[in-house]
Amino acid sequence: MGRFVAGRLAATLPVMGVVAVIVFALLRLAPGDPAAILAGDAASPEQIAEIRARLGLDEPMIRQFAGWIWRLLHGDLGTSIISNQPVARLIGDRIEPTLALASTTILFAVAVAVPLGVIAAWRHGTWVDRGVMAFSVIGFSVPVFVLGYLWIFGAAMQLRILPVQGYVSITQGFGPFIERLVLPTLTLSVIYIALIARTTRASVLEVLGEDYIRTARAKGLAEPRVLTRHALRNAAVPVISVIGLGITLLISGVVVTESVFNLPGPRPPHRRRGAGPGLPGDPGRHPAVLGALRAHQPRHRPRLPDLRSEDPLLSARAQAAPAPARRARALPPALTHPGVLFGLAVLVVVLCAALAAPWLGTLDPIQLRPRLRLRPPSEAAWFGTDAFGRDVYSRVVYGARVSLMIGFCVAAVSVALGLVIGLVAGYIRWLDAVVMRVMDGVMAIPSILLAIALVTLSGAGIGTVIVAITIPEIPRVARLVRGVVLTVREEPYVEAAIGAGTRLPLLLIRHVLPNTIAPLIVQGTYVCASAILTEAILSFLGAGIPTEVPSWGNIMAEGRQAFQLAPWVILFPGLCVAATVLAVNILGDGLRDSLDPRLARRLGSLR
Amino acid sequence: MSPVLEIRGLSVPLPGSGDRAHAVEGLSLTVGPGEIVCVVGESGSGKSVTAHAVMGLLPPVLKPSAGEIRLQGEDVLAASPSRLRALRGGRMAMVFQEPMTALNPVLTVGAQLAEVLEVHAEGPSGRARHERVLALMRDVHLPDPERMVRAYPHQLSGGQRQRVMIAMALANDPALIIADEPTTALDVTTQAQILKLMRELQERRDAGILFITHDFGVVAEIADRVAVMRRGRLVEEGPADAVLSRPQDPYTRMLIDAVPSATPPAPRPRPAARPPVLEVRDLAKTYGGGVASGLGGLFGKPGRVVHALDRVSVTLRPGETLGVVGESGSGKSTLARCIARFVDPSAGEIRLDGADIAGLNRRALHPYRRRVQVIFQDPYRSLNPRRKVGPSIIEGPQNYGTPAAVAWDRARSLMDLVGLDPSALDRYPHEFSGGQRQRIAIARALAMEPDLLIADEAVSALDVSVQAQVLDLLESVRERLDLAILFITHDLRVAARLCDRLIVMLNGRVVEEGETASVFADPQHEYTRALFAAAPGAHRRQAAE
Repeated sequence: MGRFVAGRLAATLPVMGVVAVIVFALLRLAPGDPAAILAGDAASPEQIAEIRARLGLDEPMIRQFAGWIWRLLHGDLGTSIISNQPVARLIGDRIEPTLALASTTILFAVAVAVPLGVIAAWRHGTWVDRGVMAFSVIGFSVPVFVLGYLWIFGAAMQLRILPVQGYVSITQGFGPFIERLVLPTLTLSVIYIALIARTTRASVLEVLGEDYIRTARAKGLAEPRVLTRHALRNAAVPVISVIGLGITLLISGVVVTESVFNLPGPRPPHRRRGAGPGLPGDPGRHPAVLGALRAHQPRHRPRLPDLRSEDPLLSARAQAAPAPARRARALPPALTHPGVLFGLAVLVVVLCAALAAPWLGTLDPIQLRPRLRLRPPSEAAWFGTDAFGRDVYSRVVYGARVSLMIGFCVAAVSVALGLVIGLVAGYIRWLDAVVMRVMDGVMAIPSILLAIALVTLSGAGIGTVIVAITIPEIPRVARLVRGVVLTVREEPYVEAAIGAGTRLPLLLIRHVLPNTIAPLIVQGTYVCASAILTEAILSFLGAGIPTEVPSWGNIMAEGRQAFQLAPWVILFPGLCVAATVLAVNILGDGLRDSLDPRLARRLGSLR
Repeated sequence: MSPVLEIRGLSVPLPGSGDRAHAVEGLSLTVGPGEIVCVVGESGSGKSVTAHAVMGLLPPVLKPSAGEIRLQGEDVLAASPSRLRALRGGRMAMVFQEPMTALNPVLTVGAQLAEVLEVHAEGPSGRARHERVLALMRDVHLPDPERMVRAYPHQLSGGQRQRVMIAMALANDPALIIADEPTTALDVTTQAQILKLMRELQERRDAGILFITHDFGVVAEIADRVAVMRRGRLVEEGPADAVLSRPQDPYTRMLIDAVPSATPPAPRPRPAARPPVLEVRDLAKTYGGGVASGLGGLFGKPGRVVHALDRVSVTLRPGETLGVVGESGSGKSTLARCIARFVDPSAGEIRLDGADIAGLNRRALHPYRRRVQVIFQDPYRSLNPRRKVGPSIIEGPQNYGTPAAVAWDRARSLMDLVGLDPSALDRYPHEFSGGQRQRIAIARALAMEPDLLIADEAVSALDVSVQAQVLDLLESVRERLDLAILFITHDLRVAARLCDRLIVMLNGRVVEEGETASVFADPQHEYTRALFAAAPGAHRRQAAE
């Protein structure tokens, strides 16, 4: 056992090395000069050069990297170049609320989600199951901060049963400590419950189809015993890893949640540049802090997975098996699936609204009208106005353009690149190990932290945001494709084609590629949903789209200060994000169900 | 004596628009105490559905619509869920087909055995329970029960796991044991041992056994009475001797006739010796050991070395068929895959018409690929489900520059040769049955005009009646095209049917080699003799002779 643990820990070393290289390269190669940012707009070239020299930025890249790694290995995380404090101490000072929130969230989420998942799997196809699944889809679709504000609005402002914001250390009494953690925990645990419940359900469902469950029933065991002793025990591996890997999913959520509830934790710098109204920001923090927080980033949900993946999250869901018998006619049934139809319908509406924005009774979305500040929704302004008198409705409609564009771009680029990488890794053996270790490393970088770092360095911009969201998605697509390729290449019909002298490119296109289409369509929709959500979160944190561009995240970011006076500024765009992401997620689930022949087979008859 | 199991007029409708309305229709059947009743049928006959219906283990989509199932007089179909649970594992028990998956991988064998005793109120507890578990394991002749109770299923062989399953079924002294193809997944020699065990147990206890099988050899070995099922209906029932020697129904007769005989046909006249098509010399394939390539091997454990093939030599001349016989793990499939160059051999020579192809890289191998063609075991996976049959067949010839029109013409004439309509070329594989797909696979192989055809368990996945037809086809193809065939199989009887010469493999080595007739008449190696003795039906045949 000890040897096993040591072996696994040793196996993470190459991944950590790759992460270090990638993080360093991304931060150094990104356009933008930390020295220039630090020096400010009025700095002379000499001043910038002096700062560069002081920070060692003028040395060759390799030496900078070597020095950074050397100090890292000695526990020296460096010094914040903005506050001049050691990064390690900055982290130490703020770690307590973060740990407290993370622990309560995990405990609560596991206690709720595992039983929910087991019951849903056991009652597969009933209303209990559909309820759990609906909850989990919604949980994946509502941005964390929108939930947070909903809780604040409901529990704290309307009912006045809980404190709104702030943090009390446990040393000052357990009661107040817990009291202040209730709402943040409820907020943060929703996505976590969704993730765990979904994984548990999928895993238990999978196990319930196994022969030894039939054996257990043939022995005359009662259902609770079959479920716990035989099903859950075997289903536990993916569940435990999703709990473990999900801990790092919390990092993104914690950053946002702490920001909403004013807990003192690690937080990104608010942008001070840009033409938009300035916001009173938190003291700036260097991205190196965020780099130090890097960890395994899990998938946002157990998606269409590959059977052979070492990542149990990936294998949690039923596999889009390589050979659906009636593949040639697979798409039409998909188009009759209610989830697919609903998702498509909502998407079409949002798309039309985005395209036709100027003709939908909108005003200029960036026009300031100081006399009409913070007006509640009325006939003149359907969604009310924000702190600068701008019409929230107009901004939301125009904001759809940004969100959809980012969703589609990220999905298209990550699917295209992931497909190529996955095909190469899956078919060229000697490249596989190297490519997949690099992919592991890239996957370990949380997209939100990467985006914050990139935006801080190269400035806000749609391109930067797309790059930042796309990079961590590529490995997921690549792993999915690789998994399909590895399964398909063992198929006798592929061997038959090799035996018939079919050369590699034709072999891939003709016999392997078609098997990846269905899972890629599904994966693409999930990537799209996750990208829309991530953009909203990034902009909300002030690390996304330039503030002058009305995007859903930006609108909400600007509504933060006046939330208690004018909740509509956050609620309406929040609902739009949630509805759009929900539609895309439902579309993806529908596609997966109708393109996934395994489920159909499971519901079918005995051989 | 009143029967332990009485099925009367059982019907189970099939959901949706299948090719027929019922999985089982109007079935009546009885099993007396101490009696072994074999239910025989090909795939889709409804025999498994019947077995699961008795246990109340049908999937929710299948619900019996008529009839009754009485276990010692008690109607199982009318029993409450809790009563049903008490009956399962108590008065009736089941042994499943796949011993590899039927045991829970995370619980010890002992715990799983003890569980059956534990959940039934009348079972013993504490120390007595542990003793009972050990006694059960001794009953099924598991070696070293004290140690094996603590073993996990993956540490046991297939035969041992099936013994554990049987012990589990016996635990509460059931009146009825249902065995659903309990030996189908096992090697012949293991199958013989398990059948012997079931015979022995049935003699010692008074349980009735409902034994589901597709193999008339197994029936001959074990049955007291036989019930033959076809497409959900009972076609014939009677004492085993009567049904086997004087089958009344034509379907039963066809099934019995289709079982390959254990005596090889007289050696056929063979063309004069010509230079060999294939000469394999000292071929070896080892797995594990060595330094794994790439970063992936960086933290891997140094594995043990497995000799999948150990200095195997084979010669094959045009027009000749060589049978390679062995059980799982014997290396017979590895041999086929090395010769077809799907895997790279570790050492040795593979000469095609004198040229060594063992070490050629992908590019250099290209011209030789078309000369060796393989027919795979699983007809459902060997055709690309997304491509119509025609494009699948002409793909190979086109790769070697045959013009499309010529390739299509040839494909059409090949359809004729394998006994399919040329319109089949425009259809997708899923529109064909397993036997038809295997014909298509043969046509695809022949389209390449190969010198050597490798049939890797090509008939093992097929029902016996279809098996016989495909063997006939291979035979006629061999005559007409003067092909050399390397015929890989686990079944001596099937090999006897087609092969001129045989080699018998064990643990990666060739242990016996010779003309088919002489191997059958006078097997030299003890393993070959064991294989003959284990072939199901052998005892009864010996008794008849």
